[in-house]
This record gives sequence, C-alpha cells and structure tokens, in this order.
Amino acid sequence: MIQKFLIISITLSVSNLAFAQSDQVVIAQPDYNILYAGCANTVQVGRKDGITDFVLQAEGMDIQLQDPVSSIYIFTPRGKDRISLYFLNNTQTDTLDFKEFRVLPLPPAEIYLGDAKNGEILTNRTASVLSLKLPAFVTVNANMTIADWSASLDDDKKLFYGEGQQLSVELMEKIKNAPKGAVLHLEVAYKTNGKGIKRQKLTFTL
Amino acid sequence: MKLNSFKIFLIGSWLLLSPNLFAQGLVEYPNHDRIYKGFNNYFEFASVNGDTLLFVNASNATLTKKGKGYIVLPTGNKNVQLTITNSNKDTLATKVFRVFAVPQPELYLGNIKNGEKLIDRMSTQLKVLYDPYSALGNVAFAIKSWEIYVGENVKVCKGTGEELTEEAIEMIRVAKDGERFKIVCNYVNFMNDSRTQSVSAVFIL
Repeated sequence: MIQKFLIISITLSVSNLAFAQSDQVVIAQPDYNILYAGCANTVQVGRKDGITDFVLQAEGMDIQLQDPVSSIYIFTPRGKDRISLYFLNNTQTDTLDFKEFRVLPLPPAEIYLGDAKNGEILTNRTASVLSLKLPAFVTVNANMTIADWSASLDDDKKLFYGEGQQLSVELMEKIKNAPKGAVLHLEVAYKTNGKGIKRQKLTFTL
Repeated sequence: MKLNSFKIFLIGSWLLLSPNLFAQGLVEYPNHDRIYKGFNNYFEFASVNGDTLLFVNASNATLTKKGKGYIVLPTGNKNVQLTITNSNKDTLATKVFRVFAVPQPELYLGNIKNGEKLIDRMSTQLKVLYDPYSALGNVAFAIKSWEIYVGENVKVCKGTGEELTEEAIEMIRVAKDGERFKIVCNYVNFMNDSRTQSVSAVFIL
C-alpha cells in the first residue's frame, strides 16, 4: 500500500515537473497583439533580459496573475481603445518598457442548428437545438447564450417564436412536413458574457 | 560638425528615453496556434524563469535570425513545431502551430469594409489591409489606382493613390440612402512578388 502511494506520488511529481517545464518559455509573435474587449484573455508574460520580478500595469484593463510559476496572466480590457501594458520594476519606481495592444470586439458567433451551419442544407430535420461557437481563430472563451429566436418557412407568413436554444415542437412539426428544398429562415438573438443582445439572420435549406 | 554632434546627442537621448525600442517584455497567447505559409512569421522568445540564453529548433519550417527574434517560414502544409532549449539542452518549451494560407487582403473605405453600410459619407481614405483578427499584424498595401462603379457596373470616377478625389466624395455625398457602389482598387501585393492585384468592395449608403 505504501509502495503504491510512493509510486503514485513520484509519478505525480514527475508529471507536474514535465508540465511546469513545458511552460517556461514565452513563444511570442510580437505582431499579434489582439485583446478581446470585455473578455478574459489568457496570456503568458516573460522578459528577454531575464528579469522575473516585474509588475504589470495598464490603464483600462484588469490584470490578474493566474499562475506565478508559469507567469500566466488574465487580461480583461474594460473598453475598446488601444491598451499600453507597462512593465515596471519590482518597486514600481521605473518603467522597464511597454507593449501596445489592439482591442477588438468579439467577432459574430457561428450559429448551428444541430450540425448544420448558416446557409447549409439541414440534412437532419429532427435537429432542434441551436448552438453557438466562436470562430476557430478566436483565442478566448466566452459564455454565449441564446436569448430568443423567431422562424418562418419560405413564404409562409406564420412566424414561430421561442426562448432559449430549443426550437418549439410546433416549428419542428412544420420542418418535418416541409417539402424538400424549402427554406427555413431564423433570426437568433444571443448574449455574450451575459451582456448585450446581438441578432443574426440565418437560412437553412430543407 | 557641432550640429552633427548635437544631432547625435539628441538621437542618443531619444533612444535612451524610448524604452519600447529596447522592449524586452514579451506576451504569448497560449491558445493562438496559427502561422502562415509564404509569410515571414516573426517570433521572439523569453524565459519566465530568468534564462537569457535560449536555443530554437523548428520542424517543418526554416528558421532565420532577424533582429531580436526569428523568421519562421513553413516549408509545407504540415504543422510546425517550435522547440526551445537552454544551454544544458533541456527542453523548456514546445509549441505546435497549424499552417494556414495567407488570406486575401480586404478593401476599406475609412473603417468600413465590403458589404457594410458607409456611416460616414465623408470618408476619403482607402486602405487595403489584412483581416485585423489575423496574426499578420498591421500590414498595409500600397494602392496604385481605384475606380468607382454604380448600378450595372457603370464606371463613374477613377483616381490614383489612397485618397478619393473631390468628385468621388461629392458623388457619394449626394447619393440616395440605400444605394450601393463598388470600388475596385489596384494595389501592390508585396506578398506576391510585388505584383499589381485588384480587390473590390461594395458599400451601402
């Protein structure tokens, strides 16, 4: 039992060491200087001159040190202006240097109905759940939720409404019985990090 | 001679007082893993534990020293792996990058791009830029000439350089709400042997 415990402990220590070692260098593309407004941007910060005892400061941005060993920070810009990040010495009396960031809004979410994306053919007519994804190039996570939706089929003037990500039974019945080639029009409203409503119009061919 | 010495003094002082010129602080986005084929992807490296002597190795890419960093040029479409070691040859970090084709630059009038509503009708500056969300940086292309079309491809104005002419601005100013016009720009694509290429965008009034 003790032997087992020792083996597990050693294995955990070695894996922790390996994990820590793999995070000891900042691999930076200085031209890539984007921060997403209002989002928690995870970054790793280091200095070429070997100074490890530095303080970061920026106006208009919250800075949180998440992992002191790997020097991982969370940058959350509050506004939409450019941000200057200042490196100060440990007594905060001297500025070592600074780096500029562009602050961009999150791009529009990609909205799916089942596995189908806007503009695609809805091969699975029983798909009833809407979902949101950020484009693959976005480096942050955001909590996106669908507030409400409205839908119609082709020229039918009847509108269907609902809240949340689930389409209504009534609309699903309509989709199920629609002729091949009919077009489902959806307008979806969603929130990002609990704030602001964005709307997108989508079409799916049945 | 005195003036030259003074100039040298001024430049020296300016350099000393400009910390950003000697910026040593680096920031990495751990979730960002994109580099571009046929593009000089510029990298710099810094240890977080005080090591100042780092060595870089790349698979599926060539490395060329440039300034304080390296240009990483993918040799194909395969993922590129960068490995950083210290003087004891301990591996300190590895990171895998996915290789993408360089996107086509986009045409902007002011800050408005293709398909968008031109809110400020007095916008005069044309810009050909990469998608601001890409890792390609603030790369701007030189515009040689432009033409404006309305309706069924009827050319109404043309000019050179990045500024619209007064005639073009007036045409946009008096146009009806909801009208669309297209601008076609010829620009120098230094990413493609400095060939002249064209890009177009439709703007809604």
